[in-house]
Amino acid sequence: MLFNSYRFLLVFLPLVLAAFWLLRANTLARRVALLVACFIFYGAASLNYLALLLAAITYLAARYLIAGSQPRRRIGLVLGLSSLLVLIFFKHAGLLESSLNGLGTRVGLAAVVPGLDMALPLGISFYTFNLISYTLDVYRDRIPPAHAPLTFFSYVSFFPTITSGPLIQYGPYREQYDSAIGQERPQSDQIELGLFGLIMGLAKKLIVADYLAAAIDPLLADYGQLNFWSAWLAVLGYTYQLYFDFSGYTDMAIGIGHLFGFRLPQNFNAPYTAQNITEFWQRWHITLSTWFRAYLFFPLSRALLKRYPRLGPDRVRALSLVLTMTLIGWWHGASWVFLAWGAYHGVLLALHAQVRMYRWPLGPAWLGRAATFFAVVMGWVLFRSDSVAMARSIYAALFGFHGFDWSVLGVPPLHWETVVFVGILFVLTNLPRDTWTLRPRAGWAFTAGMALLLIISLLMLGDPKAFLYFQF
Amino acid sequence: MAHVMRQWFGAHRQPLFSTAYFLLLVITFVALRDVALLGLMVFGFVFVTALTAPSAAPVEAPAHVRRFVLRTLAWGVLLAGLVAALNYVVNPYGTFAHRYLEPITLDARREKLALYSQYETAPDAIVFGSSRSFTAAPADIEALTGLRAFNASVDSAAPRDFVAFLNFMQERGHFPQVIIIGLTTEQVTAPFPDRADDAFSRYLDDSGRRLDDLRQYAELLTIDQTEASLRSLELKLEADRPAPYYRFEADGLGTFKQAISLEAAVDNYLDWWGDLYNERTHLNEPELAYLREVLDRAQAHGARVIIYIPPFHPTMEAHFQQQNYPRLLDETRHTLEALQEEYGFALYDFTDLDSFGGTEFMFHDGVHSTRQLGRLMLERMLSDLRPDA
Repeated sequence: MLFNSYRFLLVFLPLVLAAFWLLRANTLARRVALLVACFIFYGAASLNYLALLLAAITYLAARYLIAGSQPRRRIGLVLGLSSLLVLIFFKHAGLLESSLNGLGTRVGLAAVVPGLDMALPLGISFYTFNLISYTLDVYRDRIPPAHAPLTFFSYVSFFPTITSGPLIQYGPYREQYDSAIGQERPQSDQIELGLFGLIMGLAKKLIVADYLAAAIDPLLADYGQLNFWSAWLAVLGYTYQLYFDFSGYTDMAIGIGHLFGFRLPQNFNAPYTAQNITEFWQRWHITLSTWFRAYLFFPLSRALLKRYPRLGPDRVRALSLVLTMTLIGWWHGASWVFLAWGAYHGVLLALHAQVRMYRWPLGPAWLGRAATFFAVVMGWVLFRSDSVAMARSIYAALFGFHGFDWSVLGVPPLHWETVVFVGILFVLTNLPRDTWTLRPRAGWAFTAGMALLLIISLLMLGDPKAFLYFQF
Repeated sequence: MAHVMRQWFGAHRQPLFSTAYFLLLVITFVALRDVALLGLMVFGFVFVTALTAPSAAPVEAPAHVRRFVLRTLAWGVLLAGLVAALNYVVNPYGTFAHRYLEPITLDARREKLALYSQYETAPDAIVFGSSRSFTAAPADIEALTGLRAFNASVDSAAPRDFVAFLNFMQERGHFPQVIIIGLTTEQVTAPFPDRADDAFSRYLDDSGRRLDDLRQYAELLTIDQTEASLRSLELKLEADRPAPYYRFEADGLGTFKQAISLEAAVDNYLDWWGDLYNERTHLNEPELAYLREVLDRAQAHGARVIIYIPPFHPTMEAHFQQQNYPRLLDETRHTLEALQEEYGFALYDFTDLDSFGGTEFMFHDGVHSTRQLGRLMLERMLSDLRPDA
């Protein structure tokens, strides 16, 4: 079920909200209602996917093993992390199939492993991350194991966040959950922020991201025809499409969370205003960056330093950054372009860490911002490309190797409106704050604007398109 | 003076800014007619206005929150009502029965349902078929047989459309005495697109009917219909509405606009339908089942059925000879002959123009015959239904 669908907005959400707040006198019924709603939301994508929640049951079994002797704890850890295998299998089954079959063909065999390239189950990445962080936090005694299955299962399957985050660790989630379940009525600021987030998120997705997708997808599908102007427009369009799509989803998720009394962590903070690449990653997909930092970068750095003390902290940090970012790239998909994108950011982060360490002068703030934006946009070329050849062709066009004929602008599919559109987005994304830091006004003009955004978004709901990050 | 102006502007800055911005929105929208761009500009307005709002402590200001929520929802209801009312009144696709403005895109299925509903009395004879049967004129049928007729043929038809229209008629307590079916190979060759959304689907089963009733109102709030309404209004204001390629008379007869030469119109169809019979490879069994259903029901009601295969323009016919058309036409003929033996209906094959006095000039384009050619075919088919026969 998509957030941007009639079914969700006009049926599911109002019904679940009504049930949640009407059951305020009975906390058990409320917990059950929320969990049932999560399962319905998840099951609506495909009932087969519901079976994957069994991974959570595996983890529950591990709970009893963790709180015991060291060997039991190790077994529990392994069991708890087994969900990672499920994620790796689904993410890379297609690659495994093609590799094994390729190998088979070379030795004269037919298809060795048929039919492994299956659709990625909805939200598998995000709930696997939740399971892993939970397992590791319990293993490290940072949090006690969950006692109430309702709380744990609602954490794993929490419908506002299950598909694409924002990621939240079990400790903070449980505090939010207990607080929300205990609330008799929604706090007034949460109603306001909920409605505001929901409308702004819808508008970001339906008005901006989907419009850009319709404008630039035909250009990128025919990437061999791109020249300097059309390539820049397509790549900038994708830069904003990705941000508005994903941050639109996040605004909606956080807004929905508010309506249920939850305060979910933010995922974006005006990322295209970052003055360096480190700051960019502190502003872009914040919860994922934080997760990888906590559960991969720091443990990896410590392990490398312990194992190879001669490398020294600088080299270890650089190596850990590159490895962590490459893994983030690999998580996005088993292809060379995603690996290259991850490694590219890893190298940039490592370089910037060195620059900070030695306090090399970086010039004025505007230059840092422009350079960071340029570096990020160059990275998005890899991220968007289906193959290395496609990325190479787009880079060549961006740097003028495919001509400078500006007359292509204004000729379908490259409309002038798209140029104006991207220009406005450039201004908006350079404003210093993100949606979640804004405070809505109650004046007539502002509320009319909000209502107009809602109505235009609803008008565009006819053909809902999935959020880009659902594929990861 | 300057001080007074500054003071006045300071006090009225926000309303002035808002008014000016909304004016800019209207001008941009009128100039570019791009709803997404309008949406982005509204998004920009909301974003910047919220950016400059003083940070409040909203938990302590429930009145502020109440105002925000209630006003936003009130505006939302008002705007949604306005958009829905605009789309209902303009009715750009002819979804509803009223016609304050002519629909900009003719939906033949909706139109035929509406025309039939407005028809004075129940017809004795009904014509089913695709757009290739549009010109089988009910007036000619009445002149030839004395039977009052209605042409229910629709574009891209398939036998399921005939069943749907029969259901629609039966819902009104009607069943024709004579059913004339213009059956083409296009109608019975796969694949047909899923047309669950069309206006006839509601008459094929109950679930479709209920869904369609809801859908036609839900579609009042779609971007597609809103843009079409605005376009329709614009055309009305400019008094520059291009004539549609065909339109329907009250009895369902289709009349075609002839803006270009026949030769050019045939060439256009050669382009549009170029590979049609390379893509079609076999008869569509579900559609044949629908045809059988029509025959069963006609038999049950004692209605007479006449099926004819209409001709292509000779250029089109020659073009399709290189494709699967000859084989599929043979298969269609054999199927119809088998059905004829079973049901005993009259079958006419008009694919050979010379056989009934037709000429290559009796076409509007590569596939649509003129009323004159239609009359020639009707004369052949209805000779034994003449009052004097």
